[in-house]
Amino acid sequence: MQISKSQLHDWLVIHIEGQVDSKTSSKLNDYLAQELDNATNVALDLRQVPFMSSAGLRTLLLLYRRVETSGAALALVGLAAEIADTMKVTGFYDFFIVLPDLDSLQTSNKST
Amino acid sequence: MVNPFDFTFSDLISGYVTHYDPENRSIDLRTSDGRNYNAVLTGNSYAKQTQNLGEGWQDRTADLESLLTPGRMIFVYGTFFPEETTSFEVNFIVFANEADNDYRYLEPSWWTQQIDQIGSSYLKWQFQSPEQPIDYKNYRTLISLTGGKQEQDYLQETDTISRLVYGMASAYMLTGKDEFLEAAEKGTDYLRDKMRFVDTDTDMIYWYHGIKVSSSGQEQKLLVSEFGDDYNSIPAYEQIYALAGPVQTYRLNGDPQILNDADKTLDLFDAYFRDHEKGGYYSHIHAVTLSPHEESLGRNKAKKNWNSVGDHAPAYLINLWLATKDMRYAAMLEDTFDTICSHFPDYDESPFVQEKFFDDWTKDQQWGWQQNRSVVGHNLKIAWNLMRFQAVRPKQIYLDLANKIANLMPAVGYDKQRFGWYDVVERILKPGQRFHRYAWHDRKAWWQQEQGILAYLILNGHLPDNSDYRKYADESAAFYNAFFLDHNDGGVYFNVLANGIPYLLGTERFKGSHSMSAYHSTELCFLSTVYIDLLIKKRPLDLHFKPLANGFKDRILHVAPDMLPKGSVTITKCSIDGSNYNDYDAAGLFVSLPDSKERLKVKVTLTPID
Repeated sequence: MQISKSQLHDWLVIHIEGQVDSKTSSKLNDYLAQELDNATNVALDLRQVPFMSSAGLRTLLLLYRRVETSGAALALVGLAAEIADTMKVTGFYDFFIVLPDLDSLQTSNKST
Repeated sequence: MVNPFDFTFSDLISGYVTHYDPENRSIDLRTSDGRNYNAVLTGNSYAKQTQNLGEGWQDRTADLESLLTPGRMIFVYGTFFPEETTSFEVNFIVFANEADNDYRYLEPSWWTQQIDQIGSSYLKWQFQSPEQPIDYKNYRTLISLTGGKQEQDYLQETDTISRLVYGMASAYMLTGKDEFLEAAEKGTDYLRDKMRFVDTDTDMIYWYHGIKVSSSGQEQKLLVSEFGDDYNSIPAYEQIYALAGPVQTYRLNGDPQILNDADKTLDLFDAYFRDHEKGGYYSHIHAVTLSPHEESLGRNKAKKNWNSVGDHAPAYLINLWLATKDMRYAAMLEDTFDTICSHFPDYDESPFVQEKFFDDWTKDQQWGWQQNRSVVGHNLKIAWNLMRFQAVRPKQIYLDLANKIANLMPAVGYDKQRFGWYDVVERILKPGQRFHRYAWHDRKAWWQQEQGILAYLILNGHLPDNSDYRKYADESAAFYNAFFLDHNDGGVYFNVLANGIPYLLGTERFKGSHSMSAYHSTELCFLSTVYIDLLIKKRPLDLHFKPLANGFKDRILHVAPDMLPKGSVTITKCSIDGSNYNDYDAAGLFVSLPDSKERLKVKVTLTPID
């Protein structure tokens, strides 16, 4: 799994490539813990993530809690349909801003 | 050097009347440990009888002569005047029984009425029932002394819902009132819908810490604990207590979904919390990796404690076994009790068990608030749960440890002056000390009283010849019923001062909090009823069930209310939907339910065998 970051509009975009599973989720978790400042709107670019295990979903939940607590927003970009389905099963899909592409960040409501 | 006591102060003396002189209005009494006092009535002294929840004030000021007879238990609150001779002048007296009758806590239906009252209070506070329908959207973890709730920015913790559900299910089993079953089942459904995380990789289940709802109405699922001791981790005890309510509900309705959730949560315990090499269960795991060994767990990294090992049994595992008789649960129970017997006793160092451990079972005496301290109630809880399980899987080590704890605790964790059980104490006396120091205060928490009452009731039930056990059951239950019941607002107080006066500050003012939901107070009612009726007073007990049509496996409804001594109880009557029904195994304590497309209302009468 590769992780990089960029800035787009008011968003810190974390680009992830590869599957997020029990082997790689810790790396993502650690990266996010290091890179995120308080009150930063965060977008996870998941267009190149074909699979996310439960460990990955738990990472998203922790990230969500952290970003929400700081008053910022968290968006998931380019979520694969299968991952979206799993999130719906586990009951927390509705908590995230889910966007089809990075261009949508500009028009997204960041204050949700 | 402390000054001599040359100031007045008020306090409680609890004990037994040795002599009453009506002419001089003078009472001689002896404490639990045999010390003598004299108390003098004043013109303003008054007396009351212990009253149950739902009962009115019972004044006994005019009955002192008939009630102050030798041997009678009394609670005397008054003021010490340290003059030439110190005198103690009575403010008020609380009695624990009438004339020659049993203690009030032993009266038929005492605890059933209490659970009914507590259950109704929580239904009113949480859901405005019966005026409004029971809807767990309206549930709040935090509720005030009077039952008031926050309407915005609120928290719904999984465990506190589950604990309430346990209380509702227990209240149904004893009373048969449909509103309690409805609350138990709706709460179980809510937990499943909102708080359950099905791990799609492993098919295991774990439970969210809870849901936070903001003033804008937005819900936020909380995966990890928000509670200080366990912050940012998944603690074992939260997963354990998530099952308490649903499993007690399963005993009533046999809902296979509950059994499935429980089994898959057990899979989680087995896969991630269990130490397969050195035994026991870890207390915390990391939220992402589910490992107990992550550095980021900090002081909770690779630790084991009372809760992670010992809480399985009372919270859900004994109840799961009672409902199913499945050997998987019996094996896990045996393993947890063996683990306790192997590692918790530490009698070379302290009369209290060791409660926190490193990975290799060496003692952790540096952790947070615990340090080298003991929770009195944890010791007592070990005793009564060992005693329950030894009825099913007899082992001398279980009996020995239960007896050892029960014999040690009165000297070190009990208030011999006033009755009742202390909270957290230093495990070791320093040179010159006679009393184990209280970690913060000498207040008495409601749940610690539960442990004391149940320890001595259950040990007395299983070992009826031990009169000391009965004495401590009597004193503990009398103290609790005299001082913990909130006759103004309903439910029970969180803490009282050592002298029985309610302590109503901070979170200890609440009727609902991270610590308090209706669990311990209702568990006390449920198990007290079972042990008093079936083993101590030996009178029949009715229990209520309402199995689903697709409920219990092979349509076998197990009705044993607890792990009682083999052959001590039999079914003497069963009715289904109001009609007599005879297809039951009286000695085996199960009912073979008829084939039915509708759920059935089952009432069973259990009768003790002399």
